Amino acid sequence: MWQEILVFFIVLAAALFVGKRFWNSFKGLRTGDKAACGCDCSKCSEGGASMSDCCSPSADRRTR
Amino acid sequence: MTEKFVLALAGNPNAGKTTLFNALTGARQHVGNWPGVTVEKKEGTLRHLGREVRVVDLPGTYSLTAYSIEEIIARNFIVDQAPDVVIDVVDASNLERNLYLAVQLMEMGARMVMALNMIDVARGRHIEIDEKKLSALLGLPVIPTNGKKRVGIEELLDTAVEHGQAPNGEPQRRVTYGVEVEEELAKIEQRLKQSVAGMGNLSTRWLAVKLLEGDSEISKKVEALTGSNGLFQQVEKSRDHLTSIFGDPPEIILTDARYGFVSGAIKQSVRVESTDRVHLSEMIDRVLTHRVMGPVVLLLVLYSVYLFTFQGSEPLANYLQTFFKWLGGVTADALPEGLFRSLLVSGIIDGVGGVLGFTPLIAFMFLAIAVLEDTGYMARIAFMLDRVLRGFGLHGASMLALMVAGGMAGGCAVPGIMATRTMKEPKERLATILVTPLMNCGAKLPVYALLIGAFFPDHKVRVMFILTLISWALVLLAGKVIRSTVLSGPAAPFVLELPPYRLPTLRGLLIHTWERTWLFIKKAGTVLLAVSIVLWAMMSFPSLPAEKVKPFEDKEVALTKALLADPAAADVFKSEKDLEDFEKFSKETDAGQSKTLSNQNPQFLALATALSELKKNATPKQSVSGSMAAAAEAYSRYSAEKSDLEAEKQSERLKNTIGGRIGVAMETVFKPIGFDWRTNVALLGGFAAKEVIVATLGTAYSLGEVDPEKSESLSEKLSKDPEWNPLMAFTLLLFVMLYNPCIATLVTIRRESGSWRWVVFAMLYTTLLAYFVALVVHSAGTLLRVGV
Repeated sequence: MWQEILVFFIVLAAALFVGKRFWNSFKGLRTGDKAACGCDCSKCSEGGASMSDCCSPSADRRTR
Repeated sequence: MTEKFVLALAGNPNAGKTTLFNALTGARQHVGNWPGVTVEKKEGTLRHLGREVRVVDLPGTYSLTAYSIEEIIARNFIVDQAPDVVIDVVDASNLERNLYLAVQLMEMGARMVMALNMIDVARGRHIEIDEKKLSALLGLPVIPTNGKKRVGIEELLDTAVEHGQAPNGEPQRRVTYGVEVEEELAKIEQRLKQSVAGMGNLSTRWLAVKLLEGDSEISKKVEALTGSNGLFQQVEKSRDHLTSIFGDPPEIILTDARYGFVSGAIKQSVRVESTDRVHLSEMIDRVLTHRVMGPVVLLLVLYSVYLFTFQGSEPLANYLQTFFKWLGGVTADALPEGLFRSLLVSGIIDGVGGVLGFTPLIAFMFLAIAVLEDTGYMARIAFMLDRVLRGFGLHGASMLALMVAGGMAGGCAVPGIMATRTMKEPKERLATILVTPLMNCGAKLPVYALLIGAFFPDHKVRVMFILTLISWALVLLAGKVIRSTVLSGPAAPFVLELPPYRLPTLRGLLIHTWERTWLFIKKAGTVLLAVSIVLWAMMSFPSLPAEKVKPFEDKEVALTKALLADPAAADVFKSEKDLEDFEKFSKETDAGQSKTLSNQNPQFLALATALSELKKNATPKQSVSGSMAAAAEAYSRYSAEKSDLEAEKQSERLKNTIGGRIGVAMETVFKPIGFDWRTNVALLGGFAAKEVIVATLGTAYSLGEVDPEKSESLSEKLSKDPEWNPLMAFTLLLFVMLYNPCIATLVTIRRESGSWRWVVFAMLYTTLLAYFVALVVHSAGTLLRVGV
């Protein structure tokens, strides 16, 4: 019985986490003046991420 | 409360502005967008000499005309916000081009300090700059700096704060445009002073120069303030007059004069030791960007990157995968059978562990790419491929986006799409956004590594190389089609900079590699973990109903009865309990934990020996009797049939779950390209993130295991599965490369294109392209019996 309860809460937490992550990505579309990157890089959940926070440091160098 | 001191950083792209900004502000930065546009805005704060200083990093620009959004933003900030001081970051090794912007900033009347950056590079090229002389010529402080090594930063800040407190006014030095032009400027300035009130921070001379140049932005601003036609009539008259004298419009005359001023300043303050010496970067570029040698070298470099990645990472990757196998086995042993054990082993260890096992490969790939980026070779790749891209309706600027997205594998489509912001022509930009997801991003790498490792173990580098070439070929084809149909239009001119070659520092390489690898690990531990758990739940519930379980139980009972009734096995197994005891004994023996049971039943030991001989296909030892050999054969048949029955039951159970039902429903569409329900569910999971494909396959195969305590790596499971073969693996590789972008990419497409229409288009065309390519490859392979 304890296994079922534990698993239920773990799955629920995971589903909420995934939902929140996707919601944040779409929310960034509506706040037009924020450069939320929408990818899964470190700053995404903070909503203030930019290209240079994602994946390729030199992308920032090349486009400035 | 002390008022904040505002310091703006201006400068050409690649002058080291960002490095300087980071050195000034450290972690106290905030990133956003300039209002109303998609250009990035960076701000930071620092405390210096008791004052709170706000540092604003303006977009990199070559000049301050109204041509591009970046130039307008930089200019408007200086005009409207009137920062206390503007630091013009100048590349000391490229003074002539950089001073053009400096001259324009001086004309605006901004309080300026010049940071003569990359001074070490200039000295390395034997360029000696007399900064005191230059300062005197320009009439503003000039401070030599090295942003990377933090040289001159304190002095720069001291000077900026001191200079910023000086009273505002006309610049000490200004460009003189010659008698005729100066006369016309004087007339325009006169009119400005008469008709314009409340221009505040704006220098009338600068306004006059801009009006004479025909700057549309400034004209609109002034017109809104004056409302009088007298001023603009004078401007028109002056322009006509100068054009008739010089034969060129005033903006060209003014530009020439500025460059003349710059040349003059350089001649007097800069000395180059040997003017006819071709410096090292140019020498290297003669080979690396040669029309014939360049592409050959590029292909060799690409091959070497993959060779380094696969061979270098192999020992570590094997070790890590073995670790996860062991962890799965130990966890299965330690926990009682049930949902929690299944979640932990199948959902988490086999799911996320399957992805994390490829971390060494990812790290090696990122290291190789960091070397190419930090040396400056990546810019050469962009330069060489620019010629090719233009033939397909794309652009030199597209190169940046495509390389960032994964031109050499390991990038990310999100910053790649955002890099298109530098593209001026909207249709070219949109076309680039739409083809960028076809590149081999870092998220696809674990999928490639899994399938290439399992089905092409002796040709890993070659297959990866081929995949990269195919990816590029399809990008070009897609670009050509899109630019010829839905987004046809002219190509905009574009200058692609070639920064000088630099020797990367080991520390820099390791930091870049670690940053990206850490992001990969973090993603696995967060998003992938959560998605894996959700997918595990989808593949575990609902369980098989009782009426569907009964036939399997009945069959198992029938098998047991058949064995007990078999005369060959009658001596050993007299009852079901004997059978259970022997199965327990076998497991213990396999695990090296043989107990005293064998002493109580010597027949078990004899049967185990006979089974072992049977497995080896050896002739039975003399100690094994004929009847024991027959019993071993009977038990072996029973064991195999029971195993098959269990596998069938697991398969039915999985297909009955939510995930299984979705996967089976998708088989109608995907069967022609050879994908079974597990692959379909994995591809669905790839919508969240491409790495999820590996995690989902790991979970699906783990849940379908007959003996979860005997764990193998996912590669081993796939290579042993009769439903999989090299053709199927290659088809899946191509499909994963091309199909529907992940949700993060789709969100970015929406934001950068401004329309959901293009998101839907991207989803449809990529999935259809993937399906078509997979169908062609799978059909051809099946017909020609290649890889089956």
